[in-house]
Order: sequence, then C-alpha cells, then structure tokens
Amino acid sequence: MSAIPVEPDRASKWRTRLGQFEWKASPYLYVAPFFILFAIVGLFPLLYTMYIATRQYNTLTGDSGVAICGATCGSDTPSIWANFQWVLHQQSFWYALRNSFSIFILSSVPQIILALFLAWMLNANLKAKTFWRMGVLLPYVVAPSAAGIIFSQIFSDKMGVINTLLTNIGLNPIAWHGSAFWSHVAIATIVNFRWAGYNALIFLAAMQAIPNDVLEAAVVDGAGKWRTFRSVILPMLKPTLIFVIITSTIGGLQIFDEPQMFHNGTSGYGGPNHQYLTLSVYLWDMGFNKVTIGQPNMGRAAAVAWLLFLIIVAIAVLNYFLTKLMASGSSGKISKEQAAKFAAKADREYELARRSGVTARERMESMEAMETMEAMEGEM
Amino acid sequence: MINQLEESYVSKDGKIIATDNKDVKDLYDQLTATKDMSAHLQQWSDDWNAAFKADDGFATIQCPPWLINNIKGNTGEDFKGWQIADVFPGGGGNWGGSYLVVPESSQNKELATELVAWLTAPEQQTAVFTTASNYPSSKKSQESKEVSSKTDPYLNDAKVGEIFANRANAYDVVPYKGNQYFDIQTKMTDALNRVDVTQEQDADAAYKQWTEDVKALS
Repeated sequence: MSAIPVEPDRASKWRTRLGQFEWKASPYLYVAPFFILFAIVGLFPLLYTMYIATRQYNTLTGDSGVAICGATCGSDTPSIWANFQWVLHQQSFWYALRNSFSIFILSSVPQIILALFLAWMLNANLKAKTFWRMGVLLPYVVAPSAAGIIFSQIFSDKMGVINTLLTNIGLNPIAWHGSAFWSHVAIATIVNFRWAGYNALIFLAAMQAIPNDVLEAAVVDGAGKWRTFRSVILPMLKPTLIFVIITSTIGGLQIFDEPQMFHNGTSGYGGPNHQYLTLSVYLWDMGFNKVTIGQPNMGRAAAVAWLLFLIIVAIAVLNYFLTKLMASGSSGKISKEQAAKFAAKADREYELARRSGVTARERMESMEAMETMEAMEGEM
Repeated sequence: MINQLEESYVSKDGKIIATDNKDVKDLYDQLTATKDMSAHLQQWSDDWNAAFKADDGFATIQCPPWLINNIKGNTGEDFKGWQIADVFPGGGGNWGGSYLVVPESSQNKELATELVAWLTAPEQQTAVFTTASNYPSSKKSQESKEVSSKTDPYLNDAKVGEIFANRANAYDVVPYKGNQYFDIQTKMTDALNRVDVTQEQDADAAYKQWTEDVKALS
C-alpha cells in the first residue's frame, strides 16, 4: 500500500461514521421491539393505574373527579391520596394483607426446602433419570383452577377426604374452610403441589453445573454428604437461590387462582370472616366483581394494586439481601481493615515484582521475616 | 324473607337504612334463634352438594321451583323420598327472577326483540314449567291448564302446579333494592355463615361485625 497517508474523501468518511453508528446502535435496535411492546402493554397500564388510583373511578361510569375518601374517613374533601386512605381504613385490606403474608410464608419456605431436597435426590445416579425428572414436573402441567377445585373438595369441612379419614381414625375434623390458619395450610399445599417440582428442576440444572472437581475436592477433604451440601453445593447455588426466592416472593404475594377456587358457597370471597382473602382476590372482587353504580370502586382497587406492588418490591429486596447473607457459606466475614491490608500487600508485591523481577518474592519473604523478628524482640 | 320487606337495606331515596332497620334485625334474630335444627352447611358448597345423598345430611330445605332440578341432580334420579309442602314463613318469597335485555347498540335489534318476546311468551313459559319446573311469571301461563294441574312423580306425585301457585299468590310486595343492596346482602350472608356454618361467633358478635362492615362499604 502507499506509504503516504491519504486523506479519506468525504463519501467514505460519512460511510465510516455510519458504519460505526450502526455497530454501536444495532444492539439497542434489536432489543427495541420488546421494550416498545412492554411500554404499550405493560408500562402504560402501570402508570395509568397510578392515575386512576388518584381519581374517583367507577368500572362502568368511568372517571368523575379527584378521589374522595367518604364516610370511612369522615371527610369529603377531594385529595389524590383519598383512595389510599380509604383502603388503609378498611379492615378487609388488613385481613387480606395478613392472609397474603401467611400464605406466602407457608408456601414458599416448605416449597424451596422440598425443591432443594428433590433436586439433590434427582442429582444422584438414578435409573430412568428422565422419567423421574419429567414426573416431578407433572403437577405443574395441571391448570391452577382445576387443581384448586379438586383440592377444595378434598379439603371440604364435612365430606372431604381428609376430614372423613380423620373422623374415622377418631380425631376431630379440621375446619379447613372455617379456620384462618388451616385454610392457609390448605391453600399453601395446593401451591406447593404445583411449584415444588418446577423449582426442583431449576435447582437440579444449577447443581449439575457445579464442576466435578470441586465436589471431588470436598470428598478428598473428608466432607460427608450433608457437609458437602451445606458448605459446597448451597453457596454455589446462590444465584439460583436468589432467582427462585424472588420469583416465589412475587408469585406468593399475588396468589389468586387457588383462594378463588377454594371459595365455594354463598359467602363473600375469602370466607365469611376473611379467612383466606388475599390481596389479589380483594382487588379483583372490589374492582370487577362487586361493581355498584355510584361507588368509585375502580379507583380504590387501583390503590390496592399499587400498594401490593410496593409491598412486593420491598419484600423482594429484603429477600435478596437475606439470601446473599445466608448462602455465603462458611467463608466467614472479612472486615474492611483486613480486606484493605490484603489489598495493600498485593499492591506491594506487584510493585516489587514489576521493579525487581523474579527475586521479588524472596525479597518480600525476607522482609516479612525481619518484621516478625523485630516484633518478637519488641515483645520480649 | 328479606324480599318480603318493601324497603330492607336501602330506602327509596337512596339512603342506607340497613343497620337501623328493625325489621332486618327481627329477621336476623329469627334465623339465629336456634342452632340444633340447622345442618350447618353453606349453600352451593361442595359439602352442601354432597349432603343431599349422605345419610346424615339434612331433612328439609326451602325449595323454589327451580331447586327441584338441583335436588334431582344431587340426590340421583332414582331416589324416592323427597316431598314438597305448601308452606313458607311469611306466606311467599321471591328472589327477583331473571331478565332478558336487548342493548341499544345491537345490530339486530328487531330480531333480538322478536326472540325475547317469543322466549317469554306464555306458551313457552308453560312448556318450560312442564319440563324443567321453572315456575312461569306470566299470569296467563300460570292460569293455564298444564301449569295448574301438573304433578311431579319425583316428589311422590305432589300437585306442584297448585302448591307453587298458592305460594306465588301469597306474595304481593315489590321490594326496593337500591345501589348497595347486593353488597349489604353479601355481608349479611357472611354474618349468618359466621354464626351457623363456621360457628366462630355468636349471633350478637356477628351482627355487630355486620354493622361495621356495612358502614365500611361507603
């Protein structure tokens, strides 16, 4: 080629800049369709719900001015927070919150423990591996509504299978629909039935990604099965554990299908005394089921929706930090000073190595030996 | 029985009078006065459906004409034992019936109106009663031969035509049901269920909670 640099002419300069622009911008353009769709279908309704939550909005008659709290708060002044005040004054809302939390904890904790156990079992050398792994996923295939109807019959107070067995043995029947705690246990069972297998397969995939030499090292170090699981496998599952716990949190606080199917009979949704009313069922019932002309029910339902959203975000963030704390294994905590000391030592080594080459390490060790001897002499 | 009151939960000028209405409290007390005679089942629940066939289910149930189909379905067609009696507390009751509506925005308004007129014509109502036990609402159909002389073999050949006509004629109130009526009625059903089905509260506590629920509705 020519040795003299040639000034590029204007056409190819423009072409190069276009090429560079295309190279930098194309990833964003490829992802754009999803975000445009999300903006239309997801983001806009999210913001519009916030707008509705500040207005008097009836499902049938629509918008009619800024929200008013009404007789519940004893005030008739319009205010954008009025719907939120109304909701926070409702006993039903607090019952729904209590129920959602209770069902969430009763379903997530046993479910994740069961999923870990199943994954550990499936990880072992079984015959007909694929059959067992697919079998664990079968409950997930059943539609939640169908499972809800069937389990609701099993958990019937008088003629259900479980209570009939209990009375035949001679024990007292359990009020599955009548008692708040037992209704939560029943609904949590339906949820665990569906999701334990799904989460087990996710954990199984992560367990299989653990490199074999780590496990072999553990065996060589003399670790038993439980110790290996606790100190080697569990910390390496941390990212997966975070993912499963966060999705469990989001799903568990939003449970709708199972409580709705669990309700049968003439009472309001959630049982005659809000035994199993969850926030999602409360929202749906108020906004779409019990629509009365003249009641700003949609605005209030929108307020419930936003409160639920904020609660879920808060709990998800809390769970994230808890999981990071718990699954850090037995590596122990390194204080900031110790970490700074290690960093300083590494920097010193690097500087010496850069300046003096191979002998740097030996020089380093001799320097340290002198320092410790001086310290010992100082103590004596 | 709530349908026998002309203004039960909401007064005709739109005010909620549910918690101050003495008639409502009287009916409530009447229903919660005794516990032993109730089977403690919530209507339309799985337990209620199963109790029709069970040996230790229940003996009597208040029966609108259309419930005969539910009884047949839940107990089985071969069961011989159900009878119907010509009584009702307060004379007669009415849940309000069903309505057919042709929307203004319909594209086939004339045809739809014709269909509605045909479906509710006395001849069709008579045919429905003779096959499915849904009592007709048109006077002409009620007085027709087929309706007034119908007997039901499933109910031991009871003269259902006469019985239902007697109960229908004993009812002459047009109850007013305002905006919040159905919400308040649901809360009342909840209160009764708390006393009777789940038995977690006594009658007074349940009534108190009902008054608070009604206040919270607005």
